Amino acid sequence: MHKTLTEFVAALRNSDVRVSTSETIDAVKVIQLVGLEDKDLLRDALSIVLPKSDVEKDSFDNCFENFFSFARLSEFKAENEEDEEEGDLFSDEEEGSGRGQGEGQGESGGSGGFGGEQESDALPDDFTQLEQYVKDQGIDVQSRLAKMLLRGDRANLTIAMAEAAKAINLNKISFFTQKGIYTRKMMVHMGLEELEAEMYQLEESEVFIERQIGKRIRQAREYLRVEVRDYVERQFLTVADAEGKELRDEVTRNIKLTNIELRGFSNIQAVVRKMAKRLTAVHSRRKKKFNRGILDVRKTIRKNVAFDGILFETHWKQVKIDRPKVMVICDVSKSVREVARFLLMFLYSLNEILPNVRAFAFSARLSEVTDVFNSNTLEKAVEEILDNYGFGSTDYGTAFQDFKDICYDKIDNKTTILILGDSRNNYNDTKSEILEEISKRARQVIWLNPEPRTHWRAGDAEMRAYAPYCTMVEECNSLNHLERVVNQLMTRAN
Amino acid sequence: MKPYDDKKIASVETLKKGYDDLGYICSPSIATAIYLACQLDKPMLIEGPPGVGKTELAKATAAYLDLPLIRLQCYEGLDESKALYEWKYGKQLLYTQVLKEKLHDVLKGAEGLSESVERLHEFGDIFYSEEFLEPRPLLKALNSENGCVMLIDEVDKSDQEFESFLLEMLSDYQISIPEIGTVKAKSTPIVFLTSNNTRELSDALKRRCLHLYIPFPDAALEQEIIASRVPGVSESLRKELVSFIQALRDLDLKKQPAVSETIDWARTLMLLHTETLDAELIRNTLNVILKHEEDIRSADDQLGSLLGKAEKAVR
Repeated sequence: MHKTLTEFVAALRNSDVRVSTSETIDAVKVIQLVGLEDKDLLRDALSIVLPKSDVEKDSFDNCFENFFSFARLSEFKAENEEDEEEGDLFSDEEEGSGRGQGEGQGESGGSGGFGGEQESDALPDDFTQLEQYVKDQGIDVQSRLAKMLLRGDRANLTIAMAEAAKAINLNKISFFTQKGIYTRKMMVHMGLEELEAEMYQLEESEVFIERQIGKRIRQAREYLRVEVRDYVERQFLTVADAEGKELRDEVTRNIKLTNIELRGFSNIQAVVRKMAKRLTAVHSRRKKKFNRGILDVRKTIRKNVAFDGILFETHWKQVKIDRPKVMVICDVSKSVREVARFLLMFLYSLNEILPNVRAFAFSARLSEVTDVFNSNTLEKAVEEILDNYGFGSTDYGTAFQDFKDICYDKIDNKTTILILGDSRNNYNDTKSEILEEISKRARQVIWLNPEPRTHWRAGDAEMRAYAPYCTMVEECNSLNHLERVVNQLMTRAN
Repeated sequence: MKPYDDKKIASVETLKKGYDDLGYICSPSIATAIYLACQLDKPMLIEGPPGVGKTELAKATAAYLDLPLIRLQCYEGLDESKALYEWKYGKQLLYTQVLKEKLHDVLKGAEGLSESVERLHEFGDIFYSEEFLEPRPLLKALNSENGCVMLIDEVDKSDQEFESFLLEMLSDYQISIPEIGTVKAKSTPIVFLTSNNTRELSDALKRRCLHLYIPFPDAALEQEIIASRVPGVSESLRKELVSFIQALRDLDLKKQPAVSETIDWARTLMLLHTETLDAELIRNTLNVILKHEEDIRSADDQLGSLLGKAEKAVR
């Protein structure tokens, strides 16, 4: 049971359900409590212990369905009861290959087998007997694999599967498209070809009983296929998907922002969200006690016990949560059009998390876009802003002037001003004195430039003029850069 | 030893039956969750849209197991002096006064300063002791001898600090009071936490709890609920109104009608002696199920198709 459960947990983790060890232990207890008889009950029960949000519950349900197909569940049971007798192998098979067998079927000791499904079947049901019977008839089944299958030798079959998996390097599987190939490879390694040759030969035979056995082998082959496919699937879930995910994450983080497309948004959004969240967490934990607010009775009394309990020295408490005020100015002009999308996306995520973000976008004239963010989904908001403000020719001077006009009096010593842009000003007036003024009022001004540092002074780039008035100037054109910036931002904030 | 009848939680079916009798109709997954919470002695975090009966579930559990319900409503700024304990400052001050008068007796005959201090140490100090402790909900729950159901309502409304403060209580059913020490639960309480998901709860908290998500009920379950809560409603009307509400939930609304609103509506319709729904009636009573002006307007626009769906369900 434990092995299957840990595999299931690994598969869950791959589908983004976070499961801790203590939760796995809970799951074991739960299984002991509810048993394995009722699949729905088991699913309900596990879904209460393992996934911890409604999104996770959805993934859990999917994962559960995939993982515990019927065959697997009974295997789970078998493991659980440590009952590895032959019979249940073939009761599995019949379920797996869709041949309903009727009642009276169970894993109660090796009496499974193919009951009444073929009227003309003269073979004994019992598999231990079957092997004997086959021998008695003077038919010699050559293929090792066929023998194993006919005997219903589960233990050896599992070993053979594991060996084959090792031989073909199944743990190298990394894409779901490879599942078919690996399944085939594994079966071939286990001796599929011999088995098939023998099967065809027997099926062609003149002797009725041999034909019957041929048929049996064919059924057994189907069973094997299902088993092996399951095995590969499981491997894939536990090994490959994790790597696939890591790979995706890795790529996402290093990819140039210019190459990010809209469809990858959800991934990027997650990364950005994580970063923005960390930023806010630090901000919102800054608390201070002030000399006004509610009387801190406990502290006051404790301090005044020395004065005979006369309240001599008062202590006050007031919890003050510092919510950072962030104003973001985002360049969406032609020169940055490739990154504009990303910058806006970061802005949107930041806006979702920080309560006091005011967002501004400009090409030449600057406008506030906070409302657009608040009332639209990400995709819509980004499109709308790019349509309305985007792709004009840049004029930072005018933009700063506009910014000053709109909210100069709202800037105070708690405000962080974040400027996202390449500072390419088309040789217009930089009006850097406005930035200086703003910078004096604000707590900090951070400039994130999507161009590499070497380009900052080339052509119409005006970083040289603006940089002196910024608290921090950073190159920022991949998520890794962004994360570094956010980290620095945090240390500065404290 | 459980403070309640073990038979009551013997199986999921017994639980479901018992809750049905109390008028709380639960889906299999809810019954399973309660079963596990009782069997594993773990707190349970209940999430779901407002009005699906999260708080009600805790109340029903208290009623079913015949235990007292202790409720802690969370809000921003809630701290341990309101949730756990507070010192009885007035009495503490009086105590110091009394002590001052007694001081003479205590120190009588003591020679020198060091002996006085020694005497003083021998004298029992109860300034910080349980006598001066005013228990708040959490401490009450831990102190109750015969078990109780502890409901920590809307835990997402509290601050992050309070959430971490709860962790000790949730994992070990104990709480540390710096002046006194650790207070352990006299009997394990059944703890429910509810959350409306206004903010993401921490993983640490989630890890310590079982997690139950109660979605809006499906049509069949909702009909059962109505039948149990508002027995006077005829079957055909019940079907009609439930499928109307279910169709309404598919619209893009600011706040979807919850079960409690369905019940209210059923009651309203019963008061009005309604036998079957019609557009006029719905328009007049829409404010019972929808609480936002825009929602009422958008529902009004689509009344025809909604009503069509509801009528189809009856036929």
